[in-house]
Amino acid sequence: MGKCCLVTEEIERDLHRSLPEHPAFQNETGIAALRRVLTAYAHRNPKIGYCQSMNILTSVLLLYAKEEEAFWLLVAVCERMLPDYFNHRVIGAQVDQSVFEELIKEHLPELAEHMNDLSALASISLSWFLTLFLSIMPLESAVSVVDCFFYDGIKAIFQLGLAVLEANAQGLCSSKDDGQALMVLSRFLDHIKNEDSPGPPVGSHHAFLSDDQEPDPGTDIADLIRDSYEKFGDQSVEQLEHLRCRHRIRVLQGHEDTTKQNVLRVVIPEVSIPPEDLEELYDLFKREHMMSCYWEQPRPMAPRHDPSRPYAEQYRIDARQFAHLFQLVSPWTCGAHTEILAERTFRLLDDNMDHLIEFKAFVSCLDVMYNGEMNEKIKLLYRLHIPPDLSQQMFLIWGC
Amino acid sequence: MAETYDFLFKFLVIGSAGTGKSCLLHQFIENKFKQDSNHTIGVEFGSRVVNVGGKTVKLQIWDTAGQERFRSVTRSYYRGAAGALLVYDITSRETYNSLAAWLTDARTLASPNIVVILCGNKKDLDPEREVTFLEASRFAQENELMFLETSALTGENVEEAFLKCARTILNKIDSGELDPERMGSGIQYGDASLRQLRQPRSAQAVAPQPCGC
Repeated sequence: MGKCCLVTEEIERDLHRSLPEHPAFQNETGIAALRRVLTAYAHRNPKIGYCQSMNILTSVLLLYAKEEEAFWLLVAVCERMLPDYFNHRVIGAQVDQSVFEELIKEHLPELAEHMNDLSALASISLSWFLTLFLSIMPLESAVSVVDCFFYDGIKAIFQLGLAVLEANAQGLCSSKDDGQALMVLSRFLDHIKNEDSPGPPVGSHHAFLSDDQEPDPGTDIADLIRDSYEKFGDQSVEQLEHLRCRHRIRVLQGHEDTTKQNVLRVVIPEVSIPPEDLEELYDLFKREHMMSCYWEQPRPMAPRHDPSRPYAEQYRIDARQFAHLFQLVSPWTCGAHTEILAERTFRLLDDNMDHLIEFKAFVSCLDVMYNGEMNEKIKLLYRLHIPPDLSQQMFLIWGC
Repeated sequence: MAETYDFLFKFLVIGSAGTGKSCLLHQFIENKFKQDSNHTIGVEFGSRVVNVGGKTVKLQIWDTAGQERFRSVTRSYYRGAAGALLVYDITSRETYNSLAAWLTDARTLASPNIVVILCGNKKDLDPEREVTFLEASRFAQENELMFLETSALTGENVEEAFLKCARTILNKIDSGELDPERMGSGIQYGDASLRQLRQPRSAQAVAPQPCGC
């Protein structure tokens, strides 16, 4: 604790932009409490560390609870109530977006039909889920939503989301693109008021409303919540859990497919290997990466899959994995020498010397071996045998 | 919908967390600095109609979250963007170092022809500078980016950054380098141009050919 690291830096950067319009966080007392709770949580659960939007939740918890209570409430939210939401890929939140998409189709079929791409609506709703509407509604209204959430769980957020869309169905259907749809929704959410709120309204912050239109008359949060329970309150927790399981697989598969498409899109025009073969090579390459990551002794050189990296770098293989693939698919296998050749090829391909290569490099050498002109092939063979590429190991073997 | 425009361009604002992406957008749209603001979760959106070289252009700007773990979410918005502001903070070398990764994302996910302007933001904090103007211009040159140092606080160069990007896109349309009708170009004709410009444009498209010889 108290040590400086990436997480504490990330926390520090967001302390003053968590609930900036609230007086409690305009002085060091409030900021320090927020810092302590977030840092303590990152310490408790390094798998999550700190994810933006936890700061917003925590600020609000701190307004109503003591520091320690706020901490334990945060624990409950991050680890039970919003499972997997704040991890390194915010997968849980994406799963719920996908579930939300299905619920829209089921409950608001006319809207679903009108909007040609529901995924846009679903992704607009990301912040609804991650911050329980706190970041997009005036605070005094959003706290009522948080109440419902602590009483009914994620169900409350799903049904409120549906009620918000239903209330804006007309505007959404007539919007020409995602941008306009987003604008319609932010204008509506920004004007949700709370007649029963004891305090004065805390300045709402929604940013970019450039299109001049008549002011929104404002909906009362109590009405909206009542609406959401009456019209969409029939989802049971079991149903939602079931949907989550189903969509989780879909979301993860979707990520894999996007990665593959993007890697192949870059590689296809650069080589003369036919796309369908490239696709198979990609699968082979990925399997090689996966196998050694998860079924073998972990080695420092083979990093686990990191989806935050650029697509082309998400899957990389080390020299041993490469040698295995080389034996499988390279036309240049020559008995006892294959291994040496594989090792040298790897060294040649690893220009940045990090002992890992990407799919593109792997394919580029295969392309020369299979489809290169004779002198390209000779050049490659030659380069495999010039001294800078020889390993120290080779020198050892030859006793130099 | 009273507004008419000749073109609509889709823009992105990308870069690491805390570089001032949302503040740049806010300054551009509202002409003021956004003092107390949340960080962006997922995406936010803004639009403004500007006049560039005699044409009215509606800029539709998607502002993205910078925290690393939201990458896989924000990436889905890249598709079909015509221009991008790639933002780093001149007082933080770390944000400068991650530019290459952001650029790769923009070029592979949006389009290889995406027009990118590099913005070294927080120019007003010159005493705390960690990245010099010179090295950033070199980076911009090597990667064929336009480059400006901006300040969302004072507004310096903010308008210019967006307009410069829009102007370059317009020039590329005029020279035929960009085809607005191509799928995913990030460019749409507005109502005004649909009526007036379609005809002359198709005439133009034939015209350059004789010069080819």
